Amino acid sequence: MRLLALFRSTREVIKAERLCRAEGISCKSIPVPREISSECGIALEFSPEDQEKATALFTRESVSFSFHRV
Amino acid sequence: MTINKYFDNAATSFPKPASVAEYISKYLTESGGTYGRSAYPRVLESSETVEKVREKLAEKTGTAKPENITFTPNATAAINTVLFGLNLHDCHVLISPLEHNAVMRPLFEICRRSNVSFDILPHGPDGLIEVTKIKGAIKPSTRLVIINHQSNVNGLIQPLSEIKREAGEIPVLADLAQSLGHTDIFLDSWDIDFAAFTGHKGLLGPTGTGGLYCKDPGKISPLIYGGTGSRSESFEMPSFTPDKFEAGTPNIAGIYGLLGSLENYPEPAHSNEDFLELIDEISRIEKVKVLRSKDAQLQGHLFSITHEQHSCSRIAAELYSQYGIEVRSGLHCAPLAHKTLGTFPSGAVRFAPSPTHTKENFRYLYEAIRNICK
Repeated sequence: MRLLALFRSTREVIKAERLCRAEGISCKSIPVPREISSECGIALEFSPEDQEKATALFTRESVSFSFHRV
Repeated sequence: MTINKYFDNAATSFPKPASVAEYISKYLTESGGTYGRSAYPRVLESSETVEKVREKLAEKTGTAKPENITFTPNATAAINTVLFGLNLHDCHVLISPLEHNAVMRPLFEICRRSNVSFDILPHGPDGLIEVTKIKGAIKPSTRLVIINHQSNVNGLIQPLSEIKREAGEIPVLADLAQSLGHTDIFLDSWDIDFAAFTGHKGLLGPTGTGGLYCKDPGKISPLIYGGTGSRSESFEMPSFTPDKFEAGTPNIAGIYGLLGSLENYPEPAHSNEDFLELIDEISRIEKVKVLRSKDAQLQGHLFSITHEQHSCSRIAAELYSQYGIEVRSGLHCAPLAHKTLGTFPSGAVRFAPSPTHTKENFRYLYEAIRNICK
């Protein structure tokens, strides 16, 4: 099971990735998988156990996001 | 020591910090990569850099919302985005008396197409808006106030914050093309609705870099439609910024260059007092009239001159042929400003120093003007 976060814009992905780095939350940039969206942008992959921490961080920093499990 | 004889920084800045060319070269020869759209490291590096510059520009313009800053090719494109994006029709617009054609031409076109009229705000002889008379100039149909923050002819800086306070709920579009980089800007605390700026003048960046600020991006439609790397399944433009106003690949090489200037902006080699002293000295030359702000506190970093007998083109030609000094003469794409200042259609000779000019460079310029204008 993989945990992926999608963001609405490049700015939001870059902001999210930077926030995670600063908070020590590990994530990896990958192309948005076709099974989640036809989007041509960037998704961030997280360890499933980090979902709560990342959710709190993105909510606090007003980053629009959605989590998907694939 | 080499004398810096380039005094045309209001047209475009020169010299740039060395890092401008270095960063552009690094992008073109090493990092490459587009903005968004894919997820490999080359793209992430470019995207990260673009966002870093957006944040630095937000800081420079005094807004806490970098996402409300979008990249445009120049200030003119940003102004067009606001003027056409507001869908103005059957209404009235107020403008400052020192507007550039970047505003006048699109506004004129909108007036022709859409039954829009405009009036010039009440002002003094140097173009300074009489703030206390703004409320009286507003009509029930007034939908926009446009302010040239710093004149590209006499350098006068308009009191933007006070103007917005008087305009109240009517949106204000501020043209920061000449002021950004020279004057502190506080878009959030001044409550400015729209702002247009460029990277290649006061910020010392490359041409082709500019920006648009919208306090409420929902108020205008995009000017350019196309791919953004987001919401790709839809034929409609995204409604959120920055994507809403950034269709197509941005000028990434230019944005790298702009980062070079923002990170390595030179310490000024002269003080504001040195600059004001230069203007004072030139104003004492017989038969020369200086176009400047009456209030020295509102003097931005440029001014122009006229001569009782010599044409502005002759002065500019002689400054170059005899002294190697590069300046711009004529109407500076601002016929309205010249009409306001009484120098239309003859024009004036403009001098716009850079932070790299020294007091000695100013002395060289003064001697050259004095010798040519005697």
